[in-house]
Amino acid sequence: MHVYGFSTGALALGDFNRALEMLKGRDLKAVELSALRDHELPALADSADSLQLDQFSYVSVHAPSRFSNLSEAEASRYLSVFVRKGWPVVMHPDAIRDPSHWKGFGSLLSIENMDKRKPAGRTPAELALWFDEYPEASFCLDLAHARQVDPSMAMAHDLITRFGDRLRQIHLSELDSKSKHRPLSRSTVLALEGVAARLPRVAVIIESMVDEPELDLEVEMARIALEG
Amino acid sequence: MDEIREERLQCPECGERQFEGPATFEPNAQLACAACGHHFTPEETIGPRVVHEGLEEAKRRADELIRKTLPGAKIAGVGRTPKSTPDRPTPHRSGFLRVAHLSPGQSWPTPICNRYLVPLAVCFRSIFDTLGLVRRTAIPEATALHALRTRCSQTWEHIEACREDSATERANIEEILASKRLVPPDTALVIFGSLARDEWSGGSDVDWTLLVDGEARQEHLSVSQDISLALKEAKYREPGPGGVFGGVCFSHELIHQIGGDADSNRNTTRRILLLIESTVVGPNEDVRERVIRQVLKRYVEDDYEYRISERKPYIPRFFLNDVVRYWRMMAVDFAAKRRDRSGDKWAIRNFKLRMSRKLLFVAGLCMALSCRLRPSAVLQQEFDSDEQFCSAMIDHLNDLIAKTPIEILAQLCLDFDADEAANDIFSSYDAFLGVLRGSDSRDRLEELIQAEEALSDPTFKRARQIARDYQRGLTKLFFKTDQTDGGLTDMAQRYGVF
Repeated sequence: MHVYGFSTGALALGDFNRALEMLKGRDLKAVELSALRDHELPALADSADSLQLDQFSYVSVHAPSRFSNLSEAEASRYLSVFVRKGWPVVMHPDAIRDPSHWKGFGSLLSIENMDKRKPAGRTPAELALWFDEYPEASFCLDLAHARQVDPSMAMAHDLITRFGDRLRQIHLSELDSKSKHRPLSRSTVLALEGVAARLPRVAVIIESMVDEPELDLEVEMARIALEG
Repeated sequence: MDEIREERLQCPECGERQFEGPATFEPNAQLACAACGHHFTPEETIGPRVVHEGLEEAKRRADELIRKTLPGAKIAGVGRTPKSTPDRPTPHRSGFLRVAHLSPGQSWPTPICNRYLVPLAVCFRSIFDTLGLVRRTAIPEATALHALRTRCSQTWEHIEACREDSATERANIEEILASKRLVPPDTALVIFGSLARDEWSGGSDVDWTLLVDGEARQEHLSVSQDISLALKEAKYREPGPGGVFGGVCFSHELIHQIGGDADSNRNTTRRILLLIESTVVGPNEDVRERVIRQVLKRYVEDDYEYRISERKPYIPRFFLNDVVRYWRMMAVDFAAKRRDRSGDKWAIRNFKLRMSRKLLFVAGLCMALSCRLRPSAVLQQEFDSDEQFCSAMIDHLNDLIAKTPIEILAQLCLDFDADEAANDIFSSYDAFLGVLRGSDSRDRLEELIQAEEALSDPTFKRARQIARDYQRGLTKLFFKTDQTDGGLTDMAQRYGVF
């Protein structure tokens, strides 16, 4: 069985405390602390030691998707706080400008496959370049991104075949045509038939933008999609 | 969300606890109790505990959206739709909006207004959805019909009962869809027929389509099959056997295939019914509106020759001709179905053709004529560009599309003080719905196959009389109410007949 949880960014954008409050007491063992916008990163790093994360057996951090307020070096320093705690850092490959800043993260650097808007990191061939750069890096499979790039799901199968042994966590949501993360629907359940059985048991981070009353149903939909 | 308390509105008459958050909620809408029909006064509904707290949250959400999408815009409070000026075309929605003053250099092109001026009703709706507050739904008063009812001293109880039942059934279907998450992004479950027209009677079937306005996905078919199954399990009657409803429909065909060989009977039916009698049940309401506005844009822009000399409110010919064509097509198909199906359900189809199907045509005709006879204030302005004028025409038609056919017709009766005609029209329509709601009378009409048998059957004879009364009322309305030059009769003869 997978371990399920949410991205704090999906629940409350940069307000990770509020998101953790929403998750408190629920039967969820995974969480991804989101600092998708770089200005959110310093506060998250400062709070790393004081966050109430006892209920979670898996914690990861989502690195900023681009660096505008912080330099890449500064961001790397903030994120190394989490690496020292043994938490994987999920990285969008197109955000990396100077690969040397991330070499020291080892297998805790988790490279995510990208959606169709991005210029790199979308397909197995594009991702392979990054894993050549970071041979130890792990893989974060975003199933919604993979489905958007190839709705037939053939590419998702290919990603699992090529990088399944590196897989550390899964991102799950449903994307609309504007690439917005939407709640899971029956359509995702149907699309993941066949793919789900090939996934190793890892943490599943739900990225759907849902409000609190929808949270339990969203987890239920994720379980149905991946475990039937 | 903390600012909103889960207060329920309590009816002072019957004590029923409910919340005033139906899908069509407007802060100023008149509401009626879902249980006993008591009409709440504004003081009873817009109480400080419920709406004012909700209003703050709605404002906050609107502000968030505006800030996110229009950086630098200065939020200026709640207001009405901004006035149109030559350099600032009017946004398409009317009513309460969260108004933002834009920074220098930012402008008000229509798409921006559509997207960023957030009607508070939309915010309210999302809040209610979020909190799961909508259970028993208080029903907003159908204003034009309500006014007519008072003027004609009538109750039209079947119309009212069907409206309430429709709201209940739609809420029920919404719950089914939500519990199974059956509607994917970029799609919407669009309902047609009596359920969309607020004319649900016990024996109605549910005509629906999964409207896709986005990427084509192979899962759409399976999802539509799941929807079909879920509705069947909930004991809803399936759509008719024609294949028009009960599956997937793509926006592309509705928008691009108007006229010509590619415009099949099925496509025309879906398009016209989308415009005249449709509503969304479940999420992604914007999908339907997006498609409708695109279709309207086709109608209006392709009427170029009628606005080439001056930009004045005119009868949209392309749209009207499509409506007329659909009405005649229905009548022809009635004969074809009778032959193909060996008379099966002939009598009830005949009754519906003369009543509810005719209502669709009449509503479409009213919509077209209203552009000239009762144009909105916005449509009567001077326009600097063709784009602004087309946009105003689309807005005018789109506002009417938001109403049910009965409401559109009721509004025309009110506009022309046609109380006598209205009495005939709505009393007969009420009787029509009464026949459909009565299981014996409906069953009897469904059984009748042969015309000879039907003509001597008391139920069918009654149905024919109701249809004649209805026609008499319509004739009065369109041909005897306003016979001035350029008036209703003149327009109906010129555009409805020739």
